[in-house]
Amino acid sequence: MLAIILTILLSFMSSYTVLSRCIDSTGTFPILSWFIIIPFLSSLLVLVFEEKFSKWITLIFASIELSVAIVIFQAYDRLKGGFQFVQDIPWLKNFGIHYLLGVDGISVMMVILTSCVYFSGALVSWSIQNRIKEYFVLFSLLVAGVAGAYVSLDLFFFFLFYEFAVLPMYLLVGIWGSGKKEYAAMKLTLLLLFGSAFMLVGFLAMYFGSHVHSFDIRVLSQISQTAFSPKFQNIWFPILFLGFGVISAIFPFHTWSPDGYGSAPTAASMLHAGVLKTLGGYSILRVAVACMPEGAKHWLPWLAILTVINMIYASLAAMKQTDLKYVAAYSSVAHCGYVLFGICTLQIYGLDGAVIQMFSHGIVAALTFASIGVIYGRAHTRELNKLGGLAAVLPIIGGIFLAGSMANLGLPGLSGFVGEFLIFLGAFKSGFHGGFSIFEILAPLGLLAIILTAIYVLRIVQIVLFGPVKDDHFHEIKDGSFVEILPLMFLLIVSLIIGVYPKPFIDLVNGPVSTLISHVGGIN
Amino acid sequence: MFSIAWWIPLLPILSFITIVLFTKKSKLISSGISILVMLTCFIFSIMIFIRFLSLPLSARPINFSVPWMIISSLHLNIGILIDPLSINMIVLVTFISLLVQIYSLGYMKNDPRFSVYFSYLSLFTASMLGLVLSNNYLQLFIFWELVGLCSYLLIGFWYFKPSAATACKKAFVVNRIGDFGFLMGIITLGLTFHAFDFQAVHQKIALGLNNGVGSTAAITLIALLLFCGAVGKSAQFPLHVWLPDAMEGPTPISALIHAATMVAAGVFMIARTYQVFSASTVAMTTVAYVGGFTAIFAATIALTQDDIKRILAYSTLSQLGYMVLALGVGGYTAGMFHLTSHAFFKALLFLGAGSVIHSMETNDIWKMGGLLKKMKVTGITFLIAALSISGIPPFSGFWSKDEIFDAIQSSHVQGHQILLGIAIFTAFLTSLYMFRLFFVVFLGNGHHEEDSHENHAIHESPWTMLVPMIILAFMSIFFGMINAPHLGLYSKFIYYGSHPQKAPFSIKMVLISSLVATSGIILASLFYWQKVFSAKAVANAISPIYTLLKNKYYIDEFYSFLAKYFVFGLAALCAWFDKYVVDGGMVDGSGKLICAFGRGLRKIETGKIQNYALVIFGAIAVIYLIMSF
Repeated sequence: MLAIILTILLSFMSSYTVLSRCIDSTGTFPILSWFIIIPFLSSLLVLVFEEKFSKWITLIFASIELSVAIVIFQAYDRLKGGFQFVQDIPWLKNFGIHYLLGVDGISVMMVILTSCVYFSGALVSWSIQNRIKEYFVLFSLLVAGVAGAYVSLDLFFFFLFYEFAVLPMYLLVGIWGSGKKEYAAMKLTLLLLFGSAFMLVGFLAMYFGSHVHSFDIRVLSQISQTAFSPKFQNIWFPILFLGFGVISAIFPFHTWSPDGYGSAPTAASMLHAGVLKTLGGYSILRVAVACMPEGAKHWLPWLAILTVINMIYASLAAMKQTDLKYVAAYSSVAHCGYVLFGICTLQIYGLDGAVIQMFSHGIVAALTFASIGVIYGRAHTRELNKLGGLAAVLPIIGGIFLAGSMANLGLPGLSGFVGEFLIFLGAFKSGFHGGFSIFEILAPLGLLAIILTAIYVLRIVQIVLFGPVKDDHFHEIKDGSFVEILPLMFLLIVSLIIGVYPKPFIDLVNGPVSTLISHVGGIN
Repeated sequence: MFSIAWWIPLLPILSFITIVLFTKKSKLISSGISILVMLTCFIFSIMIFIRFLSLPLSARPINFSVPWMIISSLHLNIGILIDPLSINMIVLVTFISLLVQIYSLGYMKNDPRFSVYFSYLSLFTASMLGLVLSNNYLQLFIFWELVGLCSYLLIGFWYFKPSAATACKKAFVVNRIGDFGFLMGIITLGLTFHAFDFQAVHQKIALGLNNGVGSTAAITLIALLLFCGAVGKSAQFPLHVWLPDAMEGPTPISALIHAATMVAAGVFMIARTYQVFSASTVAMTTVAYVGGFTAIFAATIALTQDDIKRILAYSTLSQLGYMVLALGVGGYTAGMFHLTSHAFFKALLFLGAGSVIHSMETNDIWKMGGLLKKMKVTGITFLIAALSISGIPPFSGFWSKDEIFDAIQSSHVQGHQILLGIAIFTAFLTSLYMFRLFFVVFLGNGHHEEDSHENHAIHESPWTMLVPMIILAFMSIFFGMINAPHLGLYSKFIYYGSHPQKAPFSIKMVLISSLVATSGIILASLFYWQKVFSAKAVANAISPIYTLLKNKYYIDEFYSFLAKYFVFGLAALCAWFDKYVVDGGMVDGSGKLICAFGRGLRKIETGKIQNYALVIFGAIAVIYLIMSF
């Protein structure tokens, strides 16, 4: 216990001190590259050193990654706005491909999210017993891929990093998973690749459709009004939206999610639900909406129907699941529906809300999967009809599970509420905007999801935690150990911070969102 | 000096955190912290109250704000509004919470989760105080949800009982249904007025800045949506079903949360946003009728119940209905006055019930009887509360109820005569069910002698439980008098508009209401004390009605039918559709299709040169044929 605390604190503090000094002295410090390299380095070192060091190395690097994210968060200049810490190295010059990194307020949120989930995931993986070395190699590799995707401003590298993240996921589910793991791994990967096929085609269309032949997102969005005709945008926007939507489990391409999460090992579900899934919504904002504003305006109100289906349908389906992890998976699908719905409002509150909700969903989903992992580790079952009364034997873990459930149903004071409130504020605002708007129907309909969420969330709380202790074996269960509680508490506190005082985060997101809105010419 | 108001919600939050993280092991320290904090909050509230009285009218109200979120031109704040309404509530909430916490020292003494209980109480009080001190709609909603959470935790405090586990879920979900409307109302209001602060919004309404087309319709819509929230939280028909079930929680919780404070939050909210409601006649009329209907509806159910806490719960519903009715007919002062006096006597009734349950270990009134002799303090304080709620002069309940009657009498709501009739008849029912309860439990000869309680000596409760009851009994007797005619202290402090408006005091009304209340008591004594008439015979004579009442109009059954077949039916349909159509059909299906396609193609690759040659020559032949035409 002491060793873990010391490791975390030492590596966090030392790297924080070094980095905050570096970033002060020169404006050109490549901190974003470090953000990608650190998890790479971690998997490399795990590969080189003996197996018994694997988890410690990962923990050290995850703590460093956390400090990098916090330094970025602090150093990002909110007044200046725009993309900062930009690093531009020509890679294949003839094709206009650059190693181009940069973050704005939205990506800073995602950077923090990634590092938070990486850090807690490293701790959650402490109990891995099987093929430890390989596991941690792939685990960090996955993070490196996601981290790269979040800070890339070049579509080519974005795509590269994204694919980089999907493949370790395949192995993580296929090898360390449970249940129908091979089937689930295959399905997850194929569906995600199916989505990326759309993405790739969309990227190439933009590349060849404009005269500049660039993959630079900034350039593409700048020239979008002149280079891409409305017809072009109307054809390609939905394709890109669906391509990214598959990552965020949009109906009807969501079924990889329940099976995938149901089978994946805990930390893999955390990472996937926490950061990889959020990438879908993020890229819709970053790429699809920014580069095809006309297409977005034309299509988003109609695509909003799909997202409301996500919210309502997945919530309803969650009510009838019999496996704890499947409930969490459907819940995650429904929450991604909120994110996408917020984006579809194309409205400042809605977009702010969507970004906050992406972050919140990442943290809360990770928290939910992590606590389910602990419960599963104790009770050796996730079947709802075999669980019951665990609050009596697992007071701390049970309490955290309850708190996570409350965050899930959008209880104020936790992060979920801030996002959901803003999303609906935006949706109603879109409905208000003179004349008939489809949001007049969709906003109240979507709001119904808050009731449905309460029903399925409280249903599993009641089944799992309340009632008499169901199985005599449960009496021998001991409450969570320090290593198990630490990541859960960490995630809970992050959710609490945003829920209690969202202002700094909103300030961060507001800048890029209003830029985007005025670029698109949406409702401000 | 007023900035100490920040500490009023903050201190209990700190106490919650301290107990949960550090002092959980020690019962003494945990409860000590919690009670001391509550005492401090109570003293702070009194200090604010006294200081506020000396403020000139022009300096009122006091408003503090810090930004919580800023999105372009929209400022969302967290703040504190100190005005008579919030002062009334903070004094009330801290006072009752303090008493209930002291009471709980005795009541919960042997519970293994004693410290957790106190931490929840602290969290609840913090949320409630945050709610009543809110200076804007969003914050109101935030704390509104948090008190809901605490209610959930405390109803389910004995989570191992399946009934408690179900009840807390039901409470939360039913409240969520109300909150669905409430949140929609808040969002609509915020977007209409581009502000969430009470003062800003209410000023805009008052100034009529929003004179756009259909603005009255918009305000009506907003008011009705906000009212949905009140219907949920204050358990008005048709969302009343959660409150009786909420009695699964420990009895002090029922006293504090589900009688005195939290359930009154809906009423408080209507009073707080009265500018919105009073701008719409339709909304006001709806409020009045829903309140009136709930009052009589719940009172009839209370007549037939057997569980002491459930009788009190239906009584709470009915009294909340009175408050809502009062606000609906424009009796702002009357509604708040009844809220306050009700808090005292209803808390007392529940604490008394708790004292009885504590010693009898049953909730069934028919298993009790003759307890007055064995539990003198409990019996007498309970009697005081019963007289108060029945509206017997000069007890508190009499004054506040009379105020409501006067308000209805002088209102302009359509059909207010009907409402007055309902209110008076409900007063009769109130004293009838209340004294049915009192006579059966405290005077009747119950069956407890032959029951398992032979060796379990019935005893009076410890002083930690009795002292709060005595204090509340004192309040139940004397509180109402502060608003007696010619004195009218309460009306001078809390009123809506620019100057106090007290409905004219009418002697006729006093006579009617006391007569009605007394006749209820007499009837109850004839049935349940003197046994001149047999209640069973009456029940048999009107057996269909009796069965209907006994089963609470079958509303719970109707809702569970809806939930089971409609909501969960739909859920089953979605789950099935997802598994077999989307996943099995589309996803796996397309996979299988591709595999089948591959298998089909494989047959072409036979590896025999003759086959290939056949295809090649066949193709050439076909091309030749096509070309030659």
